[in-house]
Amino acid sequence: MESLGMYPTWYVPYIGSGWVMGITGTIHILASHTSIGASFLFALLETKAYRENKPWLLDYIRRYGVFLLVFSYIWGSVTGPGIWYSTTVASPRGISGLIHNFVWVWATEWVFFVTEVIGVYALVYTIGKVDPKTHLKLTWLFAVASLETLLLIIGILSFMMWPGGERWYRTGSVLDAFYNLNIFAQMTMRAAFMCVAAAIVGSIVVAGVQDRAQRSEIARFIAKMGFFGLVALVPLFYWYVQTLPPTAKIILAARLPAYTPQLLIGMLLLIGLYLAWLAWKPSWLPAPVASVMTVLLLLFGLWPEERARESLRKPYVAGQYIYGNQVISRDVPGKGIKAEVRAIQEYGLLALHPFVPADLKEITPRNRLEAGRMIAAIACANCHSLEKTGLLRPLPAKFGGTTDPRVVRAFLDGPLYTGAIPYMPDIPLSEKEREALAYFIAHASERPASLSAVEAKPTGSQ
Amino acid sequence: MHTSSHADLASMLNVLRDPAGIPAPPAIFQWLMVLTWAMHILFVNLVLGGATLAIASFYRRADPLWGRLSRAMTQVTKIALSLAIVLGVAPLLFTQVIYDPMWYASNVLSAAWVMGFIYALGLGYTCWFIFSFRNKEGASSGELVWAVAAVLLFALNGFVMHVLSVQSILPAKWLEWYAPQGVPDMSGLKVHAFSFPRFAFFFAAAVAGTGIFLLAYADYFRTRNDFPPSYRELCRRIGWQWARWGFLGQAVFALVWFAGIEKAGAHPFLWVVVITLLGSLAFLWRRSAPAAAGKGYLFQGLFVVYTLIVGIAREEIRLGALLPLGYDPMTYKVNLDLASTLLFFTTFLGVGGLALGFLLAMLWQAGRVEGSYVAGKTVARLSNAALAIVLIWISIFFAVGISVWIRNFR
Ligand code: HEC
Ligand code: HEM
Repeated sequence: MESLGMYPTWYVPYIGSGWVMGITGTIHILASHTSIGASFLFALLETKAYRENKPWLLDYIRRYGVFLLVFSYIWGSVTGPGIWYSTTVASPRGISGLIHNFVWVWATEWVFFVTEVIGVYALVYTIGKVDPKTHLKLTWLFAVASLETLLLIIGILSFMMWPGGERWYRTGSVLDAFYNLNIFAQMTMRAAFMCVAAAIVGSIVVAGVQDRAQRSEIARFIAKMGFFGLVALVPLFYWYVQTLPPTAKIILAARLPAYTPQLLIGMLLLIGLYLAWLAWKPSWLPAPVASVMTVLLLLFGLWPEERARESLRKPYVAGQYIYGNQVISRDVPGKGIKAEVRAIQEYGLLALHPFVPADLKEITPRNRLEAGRMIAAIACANCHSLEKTGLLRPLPAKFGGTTDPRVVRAFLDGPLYTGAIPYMPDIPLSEKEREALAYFIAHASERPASLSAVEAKPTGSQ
Repeated sequence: MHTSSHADLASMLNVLRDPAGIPAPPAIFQWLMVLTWAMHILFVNLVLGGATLAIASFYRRADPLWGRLSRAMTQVTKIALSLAIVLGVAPLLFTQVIYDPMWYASNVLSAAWVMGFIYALGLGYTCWFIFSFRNKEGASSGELVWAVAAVLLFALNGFVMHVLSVQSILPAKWLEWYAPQGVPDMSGLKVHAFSFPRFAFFFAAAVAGTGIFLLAYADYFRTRNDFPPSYRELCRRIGWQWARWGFLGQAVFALVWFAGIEKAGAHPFLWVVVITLLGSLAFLWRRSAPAAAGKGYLFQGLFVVYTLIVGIAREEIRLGALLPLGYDPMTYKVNLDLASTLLFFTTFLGVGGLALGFLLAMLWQAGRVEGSYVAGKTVARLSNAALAIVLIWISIFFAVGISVWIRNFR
């Protein structure tokens, strides 16, 4: 019997490792989308400045550029590796699967990153130093290179959702994985969002332009860009939904918070009104208002979007072949990948996991609680908090707070064992493992609030 | 207590490999990893050393030359940090292609530190930016708070990087670290391995690297009247000093580090590192700063080569630890994917060559003139080529993409 290639588990009490990823991801998305949107804003504005001979526009670009260096580039370039690192520690096999499929795509993106980082410094610090024509070309180069980073990452992100058909599983070819069903819809939707983000963040800088006529001209320009994005966003979102896997559509229809549609429509209207105001009354725009808009966008636009995207992918983390709990769900003949679910059914999860201590490989009445905790951490914790009051779909609550192991058992033996629930993995644990897990979950429900009590006395294993 | 037998460990390490295999022969990834890591660490040197020098010279800013040096190093550190980060991405990618078992196990075992690394990096970066906005003529000593906070955070980053690297090559200890006495600890709150001489080596390298950089810096600005000889001589003098002490530190720490490595004598590049260090020391101590005038670029170039050698030596150490345990990156399963391999190499050469070539050539030339700069013929041509290549790139991207998409989904 071979073991499975599973790693140790990192478990964050209450919030779950998923939230750590979510927070890092949300910051990154705002920063990166803003900077790509802004790069095109710069290119367009600078073209205008060049054609209409309005050098003061360059002054705005420089100020927005410095602002972006701090706002987007610092936190964008830090949270970029940040998402990666957080995925690494929360879902090592998920990121590994992506890396091993797409390493060259990522490496290609990296070439553009390097161009972008050197480009942004060159752009900001050579305004007024190099001749206008060279600078204009530099700005366009920067914009196109920024866009190319986006084009490349979207293929990977959309593959995370699903390849969209059977072909990739047969061929294993990167082209089939990359140009998946979802890619173009997601790409255009994000491009539209970028225009919106760049306009809103750009309005913070507009508020600092002193000359009224100049301020109006810039404000109208960016408001137009924002509107363009906002209007495009609606049909693109519908297209995007059409390209999602069937399970995602079920989740979208039934499993997102009930207020989601209202929230989305509300955000669209609010942003629309804000942009309209920006275009009509740019003379009255205090910087704090613009900053508040940015924060609103972050909290009510991006955070729910990130959480939703994470949910929509369930039960998989990548390519509909790796489950959230790191188990490989199906064969991928094109790559020689074998499903692992049957092996778990046959030998048991603990027995196959290379990082399970020897004492827990064999479940006994004495180590039952500890074994149950270990199983929950490995098989469930990627998607569920283990504490009663946890934030991420807390397991005890999902079982209605029952303290009767038999009730839990019924679920573990039934839908979970057969994989009957579309948004949850197929988890066919062995008889003893189901018993231990049920015992642990019932026990966790009994405890007042925290699991620390469970953690504090793992006596069974010595 | 349970210790894995040798065969168990070897089979575990190999089972942990990604079943998807890799899209090109492992040696390619290994070389790219070593090469890009060397680039990464060159800029890390400038971050750690440059920041320290900015602070040290800030104390003497009553002397305008020192004040100027402090401000200059503040900017250098800022830009070096951006580059260190972006250049770190590549080895991060390549290491987890062929050493995924080591990288992931090591990261998960200290997961909280890994996340701390990210936020410490963001905070340090922000603090340094604040310092860079405030380190102007007549700045008050209070501003140093930002700089010192930033340097401490950068040092913490270096510490985490180091711990992850060392943990990753000690697989025999992972299980005991994860579940001491059989009780799993999933908090990721602990660090488990630390090698002082190895850690200190990189700080000494930062001192040396910054010193060498100053020698080149002093030469670069010789065409500009607003960089008077007195300032450039100061840079050269400090550069020489820092190079001396930095190389001395590296030599001492390298010897202690290597002495603790099993069969160190069998690794040729460890010898090359030691011999290079001793040779450099002899040279630096027999000559003095003025000898560097006009040779700054040469020294800088040699230092780049030397850093690459350190990278190779570091890889030898990793292999020396893993091969005896039964893990050989060269036996990784290859699922050749020509299309994406081609994508990378054409982009690397085409875009990397032309777009980066344009940016660097322009910056290089612009930096050397006082006042405004008008692009010459070569730079103008490069700029057109750069724009052309990124646009052609996009057209190919969509042409291929749409045809694949239509074939697969229509
Ligand atoms: C890949 C992610 C994932 C994993 C792993 C996972 N679940 Fe779930 N689970 C979900 C999602 C998504 C839901 C729907 C949650 C909601 O209502 O928000 C869910 C719901 C549930 C429910 C409520 C039933 C229902 O239909 O709403 C129970 C009970 C449950 N999970 C138990 C478990 C147990 C026990 C494990 C581990 C053996 C586990 N889950 C592992 C994703 C997962
Ligand atoms: C201020 C920030 C940073 C500092 C001071 C720093 C420092 C270091 C040091 C000292 C090492 C060598 C450790 C050893 O061999 O003992 C190292 C290696 C490495 N660094 Fe960084 N680093 C920083 C940021 C980053 C970032 C942001 C990334 C990724 C995006 C990164 C990626 C890497 C990688 C991949 C390695 C090699 C790991 C291996 O070989 O397996 N570093 N770094």
